[in-house]
Amino acid sequence: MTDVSGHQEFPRMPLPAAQSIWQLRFDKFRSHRLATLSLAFMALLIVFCLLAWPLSLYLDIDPNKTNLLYRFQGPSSQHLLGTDDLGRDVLIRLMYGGQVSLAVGVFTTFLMSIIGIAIGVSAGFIGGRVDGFLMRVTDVLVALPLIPLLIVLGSLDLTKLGMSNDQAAAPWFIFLRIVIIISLVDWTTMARIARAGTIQMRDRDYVRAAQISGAGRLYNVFIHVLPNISTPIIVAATLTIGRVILLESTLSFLGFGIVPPTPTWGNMLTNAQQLITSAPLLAVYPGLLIFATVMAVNFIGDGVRYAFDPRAEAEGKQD
Amino acid sequence: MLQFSLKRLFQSILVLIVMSFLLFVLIGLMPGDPIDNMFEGNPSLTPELMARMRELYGFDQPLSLRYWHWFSAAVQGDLGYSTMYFRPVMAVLAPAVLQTAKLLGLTLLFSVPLALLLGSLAARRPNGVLDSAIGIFSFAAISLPNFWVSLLFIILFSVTLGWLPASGVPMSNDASFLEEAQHLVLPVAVLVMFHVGPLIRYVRAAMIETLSADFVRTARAKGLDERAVIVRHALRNALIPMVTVLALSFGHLFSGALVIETIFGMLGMGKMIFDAIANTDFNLALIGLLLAITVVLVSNLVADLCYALLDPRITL
Repeated sequence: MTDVSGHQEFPRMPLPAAQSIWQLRFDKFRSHRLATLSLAFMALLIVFCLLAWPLSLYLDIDPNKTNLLYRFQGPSSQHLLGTDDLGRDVLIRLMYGGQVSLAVGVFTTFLMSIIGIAIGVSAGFIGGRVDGFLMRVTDVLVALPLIPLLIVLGSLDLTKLGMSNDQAAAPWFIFLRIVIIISLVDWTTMARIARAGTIQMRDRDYVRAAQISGAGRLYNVFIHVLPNISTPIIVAATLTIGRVILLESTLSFLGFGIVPPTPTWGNMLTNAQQLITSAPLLAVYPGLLIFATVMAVNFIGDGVRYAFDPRAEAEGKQD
Repeated sequence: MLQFSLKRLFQSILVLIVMSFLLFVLIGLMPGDPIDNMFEGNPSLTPELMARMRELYGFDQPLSLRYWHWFSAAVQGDLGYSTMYFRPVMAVLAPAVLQTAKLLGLTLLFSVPLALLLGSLAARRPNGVLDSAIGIFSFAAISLPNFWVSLLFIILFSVTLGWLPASGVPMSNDASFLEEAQHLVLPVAVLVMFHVGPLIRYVRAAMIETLSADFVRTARAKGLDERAVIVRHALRNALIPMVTVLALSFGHLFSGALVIETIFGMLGMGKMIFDAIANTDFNLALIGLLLAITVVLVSNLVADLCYALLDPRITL
């Protein structure tokens, strides 16, 4: 007999195990083959760079010590990739240089994100004239040529601002300085993304409700806006790292970024142009590492974008 | 339209004045000052004499007053002397502008058609084999450090194969057109690589969007062949926002030109700015940077106006 009430018993479907959003994102990221490969490559690269210290101890090499008697040595058991124009070990300098380049990429992206988010959220949340002004500044800065500006900022003599000579020449300060100057000129993308997200959030009912209940602006920004715009920001930040590494290496190559003896992949190429006929390989290794790293980071960024955005299609994805 | 143009023009001039002040301050913070440079040229200068000269040239005045002196002179057309070349800044910059215009013009001549071609090809079958290949190419072009590509090209084409010269300009002044063109091949090739990556991605995205539009379906439905649909209907529409993208990429392109001119030894704007900063030629650096910024601002302004002219749907 059919049930008169129309109620019908369906066979119970087994529910899939509940998956957290992070599990779903991770699975989607893994389906992006190039991004997964890039992630593995980056893991290997980080291990490679961190091996610098143990390897230099093991082989008993000081990477910054010049030895003019051992210039342009070919690969040997002592110097696995040979030596450079000042007799320094190329492999260990590449490893240390990688540490510097990667650290600049990560720290700069972090600082830049803070600046960009602060500006973008202020513009979006306050609106009106503040928004108009901040976005005009962003529009102008986006259009300006960054490298010339960075060269000016990189050549500043900070002793004129009352800093002592030792301080201004300290390696940690030179590192900090490049992180700061790149952050100061390249926060624009982040600000635009943060502003767009904030404007969407600003007029949501729950934000209004919080405002009516007496919540301050800062409370709303930190409790309601920031968590909700974190997804596009994480995606943008991943893609930023590659750009920062390129900017840093270009600046260091030109001599206005991180200066020797501290090696970076960029400044290892500074002299390479003069040595092209005598030691062309010296020009190949550092650039290859920059290229591979930036490419891998960009693929990871594409993978993250694909994994986080339900509508996104993957650019470099191959099935 | 006129009101909009005037407003934007006024804004651009304001930006230029603000930037000139900022750069004036920053360049004042670069190591040394012009009197120190004179001391390098003439070490017999006594400290008293140098202090006297600082007073004479107004280096003891407050920053705002110095900026005002510079500004009022610059507005009247007196841009000062370059301490590196011992010539008026304008006389140094004019040939440099020409050199850079040549380099950037040639780059645009190749990068824009290449981006249109590859972007449209990729958009025809999103996620197809060709799209993936072009996608990887544009990713690679974005990730390549342009100074390293320059070095590799010089190693490969100049040193190993000996096909092309390793410098961007001929040695002699009366080189033939062919000779000059030969010297330009490598720099332009590197700059095209540098410029084309983001453009391809942009054209592809715009084309995918346009190809799904109703008028494209209509064009296909009325039996037009695929090439006419893509070139005459889709591409023309996708091109309009491209004007803005190109204008915005100008600053980026100029950054690339600075690096490439430096490597290939071309005395263009970029290398001029680089040399001026490296040799603390304050005046030349300041004017060079401001000129570059002016070009970028003007190109953005023109792009906004073109946008309205090209697209009848938009009124300003």
